[in-house]
Amino acid sequence: MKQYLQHACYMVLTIGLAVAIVSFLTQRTIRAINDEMDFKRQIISLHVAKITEVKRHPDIMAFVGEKNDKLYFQTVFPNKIIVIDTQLQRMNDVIFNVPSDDRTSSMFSIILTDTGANIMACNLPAIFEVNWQSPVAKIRRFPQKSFSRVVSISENTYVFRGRDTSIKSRDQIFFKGNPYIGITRRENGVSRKTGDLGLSTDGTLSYDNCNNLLVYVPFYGNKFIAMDTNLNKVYEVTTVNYKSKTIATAGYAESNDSRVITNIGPKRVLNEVSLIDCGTLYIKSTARCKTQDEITFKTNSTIDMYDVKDGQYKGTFYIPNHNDEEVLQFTIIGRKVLALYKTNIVLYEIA
Amino acid sequence: MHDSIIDTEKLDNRAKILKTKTLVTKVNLLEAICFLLTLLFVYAAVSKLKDFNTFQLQLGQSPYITNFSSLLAWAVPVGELVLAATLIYKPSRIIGLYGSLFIMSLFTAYIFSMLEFSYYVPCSCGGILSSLSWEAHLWFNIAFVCLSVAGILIKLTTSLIK
Repeated sequence: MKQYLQHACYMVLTIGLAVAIVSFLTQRTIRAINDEMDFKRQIISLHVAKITEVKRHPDIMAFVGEKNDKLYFQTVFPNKIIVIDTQLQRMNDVIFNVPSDDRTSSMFSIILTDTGANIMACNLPAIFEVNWQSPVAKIRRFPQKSFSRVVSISENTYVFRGRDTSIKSRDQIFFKGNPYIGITRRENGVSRKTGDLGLSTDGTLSYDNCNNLLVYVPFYGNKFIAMDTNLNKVYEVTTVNYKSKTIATAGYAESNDSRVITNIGPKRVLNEVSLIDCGTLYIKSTARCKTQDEITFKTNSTIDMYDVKDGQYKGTFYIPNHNDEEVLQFTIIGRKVLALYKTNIVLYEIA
Repeated sequence: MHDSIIDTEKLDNRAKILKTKTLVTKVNLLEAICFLLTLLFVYAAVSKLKDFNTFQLQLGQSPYITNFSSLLAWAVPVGELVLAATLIYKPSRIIGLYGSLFIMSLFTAYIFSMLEFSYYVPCSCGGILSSLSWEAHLWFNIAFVCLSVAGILIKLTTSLIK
């Protein structure tokens, strides 16, 4: 009996030691995050009330935009766009004769046009111009070998983030181009050079047609930059969570006879989603400040608002979780918020 | 009187047979547990060493252990192989079982903590285990913690009976 008790104690001690080691490592990491909470947010008490919801189609990947009372969604297939009416009642898909092979599907985005959409295949690189009347797509070669982010600033003029092939490190910079005449402008000293093909500086590029400004919000940093349409830096400002450090390190990794560039350290997405709606920049932030209640923070998505004109912080509001799922993407349509969750699409009214 | 003596002897023999049978069952069970643990550690260590660069990279991506990733990338598979050896070699089996309990508890607590508190969850397992979800991995590890505890208890019982 004595021996059993003795071994029971040893077992508890063994498990206890393992738990203590993990607890120590966890606390160390949490403390570092808590140190960054020393900033203030101005919570705007907006009442976000649900109007309607619809089950998310499994093919839907992202929201593209709203036009003529219709909502357009990008799917996992480049040749398929899902269209839903703004009341989320009717859903139908539009199929185009765009190749849906690995290279096209690997990275693409969709830009709505007046008559249809431009499917931007980043790794081909090409633009498939489609219209709602015909399934036949026109193909235009894109003026850069490959690109990661792209916005349209006027008909046939795009600003995009692509690799700078003129330097050895092949960092990503911003270009302005036109499929008919090629690259018309390249930025000068706007992007941070990290020597990792732009992986640790990856982010979202948006265009504000009310102020004619382009805004780039990095996923892993606490700063965002604004450029004019000639790619000159207008300002660079620190987000409200000024204490958060950039956490993303990329480097080369060798595996199975191949050498790839990838994240070599932990990555912490600070600015998960960002979008512009006429003069206001909305950023879904993952950083909690000291004055924010932990439960409220966990059960809502925190959206910080900034003035695009000067980058000034305007306030914060919440979009609630839906069925314990947080918002993956959202957009502002007038006084409404359309939120994309893992399993649902929900339309809210801002009161 | 004579009959009752024979009955007692029979009973004693039966008890001895039963005891031996129980002991054999327990020894077999212990062998099975040690075999399973050895198989797990050898498989896990070999998968990690086979694709060492990826394993090291994945450890580096973990917010908790990024600073010690180079050291742990070697220490974990080597530790697993040493544990496997102590489980195979019978005199050191109890150390192996305690080692298994420690390392499996460590992995279980690590996965639980990553799922609950970490802002980024990379995968750092090799071979077939990488196809398991983190939740499935957690239950898999808990099962092996229980097996280690069972192994220690059986080892203790068999040592005491002997």
